[in-house]
Amino acid sequence: MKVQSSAVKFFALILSLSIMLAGCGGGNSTTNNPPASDPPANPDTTVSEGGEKAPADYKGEITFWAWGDYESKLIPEFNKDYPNIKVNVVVVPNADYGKKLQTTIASKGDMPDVVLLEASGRGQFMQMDAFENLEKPPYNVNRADIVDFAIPLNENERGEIVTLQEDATMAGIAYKRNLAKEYLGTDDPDEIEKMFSSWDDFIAKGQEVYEKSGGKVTLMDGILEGGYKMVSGEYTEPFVKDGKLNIESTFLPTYKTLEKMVKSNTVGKYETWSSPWNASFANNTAIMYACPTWFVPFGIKPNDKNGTGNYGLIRAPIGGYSWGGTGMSIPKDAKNKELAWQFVKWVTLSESGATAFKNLNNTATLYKPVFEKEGFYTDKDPYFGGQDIMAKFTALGKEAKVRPITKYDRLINDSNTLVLKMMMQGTSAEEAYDTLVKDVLKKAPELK
Amino acid sequence: MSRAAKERRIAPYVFISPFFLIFGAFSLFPILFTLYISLTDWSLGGAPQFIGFGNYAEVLQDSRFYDALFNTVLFMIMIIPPQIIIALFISVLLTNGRVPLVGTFRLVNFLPYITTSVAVGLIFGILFDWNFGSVNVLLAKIGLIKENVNWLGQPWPSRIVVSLVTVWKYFGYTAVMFLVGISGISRQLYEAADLDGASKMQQFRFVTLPMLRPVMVFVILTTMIGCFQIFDEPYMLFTGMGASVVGGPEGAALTGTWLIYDNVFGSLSRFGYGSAIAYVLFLFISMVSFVTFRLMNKGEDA
Repeated sequence: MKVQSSAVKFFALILSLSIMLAGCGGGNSTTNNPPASDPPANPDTTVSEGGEKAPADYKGEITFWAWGDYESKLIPEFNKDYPNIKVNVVVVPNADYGKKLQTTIASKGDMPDVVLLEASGRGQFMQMDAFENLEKPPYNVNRADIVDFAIPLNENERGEIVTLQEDATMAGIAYKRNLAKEYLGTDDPDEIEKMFSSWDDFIAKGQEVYEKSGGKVTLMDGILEGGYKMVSGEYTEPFVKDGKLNIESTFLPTYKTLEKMVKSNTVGKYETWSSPWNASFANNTAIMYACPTWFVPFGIKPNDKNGTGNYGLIRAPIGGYSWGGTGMSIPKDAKNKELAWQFVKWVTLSESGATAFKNLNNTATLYKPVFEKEGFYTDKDPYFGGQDIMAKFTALGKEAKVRPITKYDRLINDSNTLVLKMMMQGTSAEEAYDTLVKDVLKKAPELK
Repeated sequence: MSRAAKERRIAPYVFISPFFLIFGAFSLFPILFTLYISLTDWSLGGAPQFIGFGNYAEVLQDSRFYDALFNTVLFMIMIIPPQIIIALFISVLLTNGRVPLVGTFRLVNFLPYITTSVAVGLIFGILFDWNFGSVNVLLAKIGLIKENVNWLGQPWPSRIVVSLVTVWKYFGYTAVMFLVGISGISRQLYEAADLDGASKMQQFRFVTLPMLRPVMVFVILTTMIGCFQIFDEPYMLFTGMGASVVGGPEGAALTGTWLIYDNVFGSLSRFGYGSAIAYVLFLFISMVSFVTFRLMNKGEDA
């Protein structure tokens, strides 16, 4: 059994090390397979001056990477207006989307004609020189067509509109009517809204609910991430300004409010998207959830199938805020930009797109002429006890505030997640803020 | 030279060429390309720019890199001894001839190894959940803890969970190594030991263990290298806001591979820098492995 010589042993060692290194290196040189349904290159790659041709004159195929069916169910409606543009959807799971986009851009692989950029990871992509500036010809987007509050969500740090967010993502607070009646004394949205004109009211009531229920029910689900999104929603300073970290004005006051919420048990210990959190909708342990437009179809309804009639929507004490959102962008390396633009424009900046979006996704788009049209967005959702939540959201959108997006947003949000987990265990606001700054600067020392 | 002789000379090369072709395309090329990337400043969008050893200088000043090394050393201490003891115990048990259904047990022990890391991470994440996990409920019922332990939210408990998951997942694989090693030991040695009146314990101590030394060296080295690469399980364990908390609570479970992943595919998109970390880690692992290798073979043939 004795190994023959140390040379043999050393060779074995080198081999196992190279296997190890291959594991390390492999990730960096990943080349992406071109999507299976890549269309043949359009011979007419020059983009025309636009606007002149009739919709039916646009002919060809485009490739579109999407993670769900939020957009693909609009395609049949799109084809009613543009019968000759075939949209080939390549489904890329949300978790892999950024990575796939990243490696495709870096390896100069085949880019799709339309990509989606989700709000939380959008900054780093928008900052690159990889997407068309949609304000320039032939696209000529007019800022006045976009709902005011959302314009910063479409801009990169150079002020260029490189993405068009499809969904209007203003947010309020959703609550459960049965629990509201029991612990707040009413389930009427207007009356509940009046109870909470400040976070102090919110926290006082939170403590009351916790005590009244013997610790079984909390006013809100948790600080990670709904509570954080809601409380931080009032601050609009970008996280990075002139290349320096600029987070104190957002995070210090946010953490102070969150600390009070944790101490008073206003918030529970649920973490958004965790399985206990999913179950919380049906087991009546939290009254309220921070609720942007997309939260109704993605957060509430799938988790509480028997909840029809049991939900209501109110304005948060700080007023309208925004959470999330998906933008459509056209890569500079796209092959069929002209056709891609017809699709993007139709979804984000047209009345028929907005109508389809409203009917199929129960959500408004950011096309301002329609957004401001009296009575266009109305939906007396039986799930919300007949409350017109679409009108309510639209009203919130008129006062919503957003924070400009920076390249470092995702990095800072990653650190923030870590800090919020500490705060759930009772870390003070000051300590939490110090940890946040330290963690961010560790990852990006250039921001000092 | 006759045709047959020529063919005979070429044949071996043809037969071994698939390995070298695959090795070249999927191991050697990435290794060399990574070396090239590591010498460039390549982030999203821009073309790679050659910057010499700039990335390497930065790695050596990166506090996160040292955190990752420190965590890895901790994981080695927390993982290697229990993994080897458990694996050795099981393989000795399964080879002593008195356990029925050896095949079944062998399979059962090996099952964790073939379970997808993602599933393992998810399930352990649910088990060790702070407020709703079964582990805390169980510990509280037994009366071992009064307050819930935030397993995945604090540095030391989370390191324990990561070690536990890793040991659980890989002990079966290690046990197979030992099983093979033990079945390779000549029966005569045990018979001779028996005749000399050695007890079972003495046989284990003076026959099995020394004869397993080559396997032991292999297992310890590969496990050490494995500790640098711990990634999938903690990546799935520490999630929040639908995304992973990089490095776990306070970076307590940040390992070399995770650091590379975060730099390349995470919030920073720095391909060049990530590759440089990979190479520094490679050198570091080579060094550690070499030293370990020398130490473990001391007195045998040096």
